[in-house]
Amino acid sequence: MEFLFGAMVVLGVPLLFAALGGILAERSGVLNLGLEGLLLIGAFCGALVGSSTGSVLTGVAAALAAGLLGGAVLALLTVVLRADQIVTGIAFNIAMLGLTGLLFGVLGAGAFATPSDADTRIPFLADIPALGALFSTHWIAYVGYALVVALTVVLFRTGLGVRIRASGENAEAARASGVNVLRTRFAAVVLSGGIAALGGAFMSLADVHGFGENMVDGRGYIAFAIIILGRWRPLGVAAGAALFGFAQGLDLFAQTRSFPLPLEAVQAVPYVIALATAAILGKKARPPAEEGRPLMLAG
Amino acid sequence: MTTAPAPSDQGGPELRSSLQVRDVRKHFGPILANDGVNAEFRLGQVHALLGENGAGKSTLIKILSGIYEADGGEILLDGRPVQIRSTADARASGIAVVHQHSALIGRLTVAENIALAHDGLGFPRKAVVSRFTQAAADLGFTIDPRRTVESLSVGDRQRVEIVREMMTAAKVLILDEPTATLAPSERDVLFATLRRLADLGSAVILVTHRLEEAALYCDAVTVLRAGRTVFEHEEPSRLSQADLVRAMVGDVRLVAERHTSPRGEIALSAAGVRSRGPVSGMAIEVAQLTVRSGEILGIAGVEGNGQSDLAEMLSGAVKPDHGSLLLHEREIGALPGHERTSLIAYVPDDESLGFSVNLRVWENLSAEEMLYRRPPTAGNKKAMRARSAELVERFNIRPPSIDAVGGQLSGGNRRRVQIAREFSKTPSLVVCGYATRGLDVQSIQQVKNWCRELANGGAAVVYIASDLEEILDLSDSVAVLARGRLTASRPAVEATTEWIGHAMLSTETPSEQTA
Repeated sequence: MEFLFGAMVVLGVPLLFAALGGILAERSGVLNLGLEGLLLIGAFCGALVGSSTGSVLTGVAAALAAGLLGGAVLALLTVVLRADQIVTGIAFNIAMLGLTGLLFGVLGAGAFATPSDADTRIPFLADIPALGALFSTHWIAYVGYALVVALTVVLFRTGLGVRIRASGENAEAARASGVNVLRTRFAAVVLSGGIAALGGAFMSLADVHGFGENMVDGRGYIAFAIIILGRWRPLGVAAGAALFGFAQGLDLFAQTRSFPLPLEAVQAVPYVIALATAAILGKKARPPAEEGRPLMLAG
Repeated sequence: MTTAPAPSDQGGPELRSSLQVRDVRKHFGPILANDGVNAEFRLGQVHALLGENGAGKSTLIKILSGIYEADGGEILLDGRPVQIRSTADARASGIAVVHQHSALIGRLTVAENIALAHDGLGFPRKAVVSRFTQAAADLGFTIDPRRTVESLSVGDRQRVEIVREMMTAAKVLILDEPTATLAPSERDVLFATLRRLADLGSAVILVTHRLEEAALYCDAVTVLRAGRTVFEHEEPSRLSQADLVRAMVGDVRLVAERHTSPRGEIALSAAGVRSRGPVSGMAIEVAQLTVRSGEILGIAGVEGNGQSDLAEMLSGAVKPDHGSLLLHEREIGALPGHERTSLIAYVPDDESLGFSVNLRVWENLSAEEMLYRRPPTAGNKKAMRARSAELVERFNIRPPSIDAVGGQLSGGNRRRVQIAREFSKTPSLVVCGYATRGLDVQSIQQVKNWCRELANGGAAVVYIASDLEEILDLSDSVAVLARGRLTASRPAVEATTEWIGHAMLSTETPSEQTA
C-alpha cells in the first residue's frame, strides 16, 4: 500500500501540474493543447540546467522560464494571431518532441545527469499511514499542492479570476464590461505554460534524475481527461491527478510483484479510465463556453 | 481597449437637465443611416424612441454610446456640447445602454458580473454585494447578488443590467427593445422599474417599435423614419395608435385587401395525426384538417401550445408518429429532400433553424439549392449570386450586400433572408411559424401581402401567429391550437373572437365542439 501511494505521488504530480496549467488557459477561453510539449521542455530544461549548475532550484527556475517562453509562443499564435488552437497545440507538441530529442542526441545523456536532493518530510503529516506518502516527497510536489490552493483563490476569489472566467465564458460581454480579453488570455496562456513545465521539471529532477527522449509519453494528453474529471476546478483536478497517478502506480506495482492480471491489462487501466471519463462525464461536462474560440474583433 | 471607471455611488457626473441630439448625421457608404436626427431626452422622464427596422434607431444608440462616431451634428448634455468618441467617453458622460441581448455572463454570479468593471487584482465582494442590494432596493426589488446570472429569469437579468449601469453613475439609460424577450407580466414589472428610475432623476430612453408601450408608459415620444426625426410629442398618452403608425410608416394602406382566393383542390390533408412533439415533447394531435390550394389557414393560439411542433411536422422536417399528413396525396414526411424543399416553403419560428450566422447572405439564400439541387460549381455559384442579388433587392434586405456574413445582420434582416429564400419558391405548401416576429409594422404588412400572393399563385398557406388581428386580417379560414390539439378549421368570417377564445381555453377536445 505504501508503495502504491508513493507511486501515486510520483506519477500524479506531473499530471497535476499539467492539468492545473490546462485549466488556467481553458478558463480564459483558450484550449492549450500544448501541455505535452510544455511538460517536455520543462523536463528537458530542468535536467539540462540542473545538471550543469548542480542545483535543483536553478533547474526548476530554468524549466519555469522555458515553460513561460513556450506559453508565450502558444499565446502569440493562438491568442494574438488567432491560429487554430488544436492544430497549434499539436504542432507545438511535435516540434518540442523533435527539438528535445535532437538536442538530447547531440548533447548526450551525460549532460542530463541531475543532482538529487533528499525528499522533504513534513512533520506529523508524513507519519499518516498510506497518505503520508503525499507529505514525504520532493519539494517540487509541494509547489504543486500550493498551486492548487493558489489557483482556487485566484480564480474564484479575485478580480483577476473573475476577468479570466468572464473571458472564457463570454468574451464579447466581458469586453463590453471593460475587460481586456486579449491581455487576460495572453497572460493566462503564458502562466499555463510555466505551470505545466514545472510538471516536467518534477519528472526529470525529482523522479527520474535525468532526461530521456519522449519521457513525458502522453501525460500531457491524459491531463485533458483529468481536466474534464475535475470539472475545470483546481481541487477537482487534484483528485483526478491522484486517481490517474494511482492507476499508473498499479502498473509499476504489477511489474515488480506477481499480480493476478496480465501486465498489459494493468497498463491499460489509466487509458481506460481516461476514455471512460470522457465517455461518461463528457456529455455532462460543461467546459468554459468560449473554449477554443478565438477572439474576433467586432465588425 | 478602454476600461470603465470604477463604480461609485457618489460623485460622478453632476446633475443635468437633459441630453439633446441636434441634427445628428451618419452615413455608411452611400446609405444615410442618420440624416438629421433631433431629440431631447429630459431627466426624470421615460422617453420612447420609435421607428421601424432601419429607421436609424440603432445607429443613434451606437452614436450615443460611443460605438460609432457621428459625421455631423451635435450632442449636448445640459446645453453643453460633448464629444463622444468611445464607449469610455459615453460612460464618463453618464450614458449607458442595456442591449437587447443580455450582456451578462451566465455562469458568473451577479456580483462577479458587476465587479468585472474593476481593474484591480482584488475583488471587493462585500462592497459590491451591499452596493448592489442597496441600488436594487432603491429601484424597488431584491435580487440576491450571489446567485449566478443563469439562474435568474430574463426579467431579473434585465434588472441586474439596469442596476449595474446605475451603479456606474449613469444618468441617461438607453434600453434597446427591452420588452422583446419578456413575458407580459415581466413587462409590467420592467416599466415599474423604469418609472422608478425616472423618478430618481434619470433620463430613460426606451427604444421600441411597440406602439402601445409608447402610448401607455412614456412621457414623451420621438419617431424616426428613414434616418430623420419625423415626429415628436410630449403627451403620447393622448395619441391614438393610428397617429403613431402614421408617423412611423407614413401613409400606407394598413389593412390588406381581402381577396377571396380561388379555391383549388385539396393540397394539404391530415387525418388522425398523433405524435410526440419534436420540439416541446408535448402530445400533438390533429384529428382532421384540409387546406386547399389558394387557401390561407390561420392557426391561432397562445404561444407554447405546440406551434413549433406542428410547424416542424407540416414542413416535413419531422414525421409524425401516427396518422397521415399528405401533400397532394403524398406523405410529407417521406418526401425526398430535393422535393420537400421545392414543394414546401417553411419559415420556422426559431430563426436559428433556417439561418446560419456563419454563411454569407447569398449562401443563406442558396442553401437549399446547394444542398439538394445544384452543386456549387463556379457557374452555379455565379447564377446563385445573381439570383441572390435580386432577392436582396426584392425583399429589402439590409445591408443590401449579398456578401455580408449572416452574423452581421440584425434580427429583422435575418428573418427577411429566410423569408426571401422560402417565398421565392413556387411552393405547393407554405408554412409560416411566427414569420413576422421581430419585424416592424410595414414589414409585417409586406409579409402578409406576400403570403396572399403565394396563395393566389396556388399554394396552400398555413400561417401560425399569436396576434389575432393579424390572423383574422389575413386568413380565409382559422383553426386554433391549444394544448397540442388543433381544432377543426372554420371560415374566417365565422371565426368569432368568442369562438377562438373558447377554443384557446378549452380543456375538452375542441374538434368535437366545432365539428
